[in-house]
Amino acid sequence: MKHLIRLAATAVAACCAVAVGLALTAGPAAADPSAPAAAGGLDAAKKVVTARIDGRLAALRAFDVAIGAAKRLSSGHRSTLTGLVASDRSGLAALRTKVAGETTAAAVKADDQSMVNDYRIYLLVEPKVRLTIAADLETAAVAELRETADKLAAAIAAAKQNGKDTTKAEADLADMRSQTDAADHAIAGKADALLAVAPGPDADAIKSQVTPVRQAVRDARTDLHRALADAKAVKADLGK
Amino acid sequence: MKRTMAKVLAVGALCAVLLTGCGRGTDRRAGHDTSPATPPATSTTTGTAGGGAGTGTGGGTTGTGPTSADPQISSVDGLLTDLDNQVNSDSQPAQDAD
Repeated sequence: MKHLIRLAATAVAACCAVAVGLALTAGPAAADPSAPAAAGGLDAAKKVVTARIDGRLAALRAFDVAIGAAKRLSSGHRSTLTGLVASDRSGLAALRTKVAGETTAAAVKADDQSMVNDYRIYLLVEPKVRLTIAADLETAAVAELRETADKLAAAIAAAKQNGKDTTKAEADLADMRSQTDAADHAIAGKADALLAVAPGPDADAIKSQVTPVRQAVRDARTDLHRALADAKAVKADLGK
Repeated sequence: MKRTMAKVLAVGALCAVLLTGCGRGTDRRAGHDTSPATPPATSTTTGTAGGGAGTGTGGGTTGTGPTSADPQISSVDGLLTDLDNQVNSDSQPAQDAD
């Protein structure tokens, strides 16, 4: 469902971009972008840009909800993300007002570019929110899994003392610890690195910084699922 | 005088007989009321004892029981469910997403 919504949003965004381009290049304004545009074309362009800003403001409201609901988010990351979302909401609201008062096609086009390049809501802010929440969940899971491993080790020792064959349980526990360490290593410092990325006009440069973090979070998730499966296997090995 | 004394004694004897009779009657009724109550009391006691023994045997026979790691395992299960939801929310942006 989310994919459908995103697909629709992308399609709308693409159409809007084309519409802004058409609106801004139509009529006399095309010859001189700084000259006052024909009333119809300028109004149409302003409507399109305003709608694009509104879409970003709605996304930021959704991020606020996600941040509020993220129980394992560290206080530092919560503070950074809350500040970022509040700042972007404030900036985009001001830009929306500015668009409404523009009198030239060039000014509306500049506002449209500012809306994208100065904020990067979809390309950068969304991954910052989602992936930081995910990375902090993974950090919490690593801590829980390490505690679990210590308790399972004690259970194995007790079973061994009672004469039980614990060979498989020990092997599963070793793998559990290894997977947990791999997850910890994968996400170390990734959220902070992502939060430090600044918006800008170079979309490819932003993508090249976001993609490794996204991959690390996904890799860590796989490791953590394996570690949890190992923990359950140890329990089964011990007949618990 | 002797006749008066004889009447008093006769009345006293009559009262004694009547009182004894009433007492026996009361005892009999009490006994009758108490008797049926005894079996249910015994039955309840027996039932409770049976339940307790059943629970104890079940736990001991299977040998199952929570380990001290169980709360952590449940907690990690919950964390990973939240994580899956979060990672799925971060859908790969489309090529032209800005």
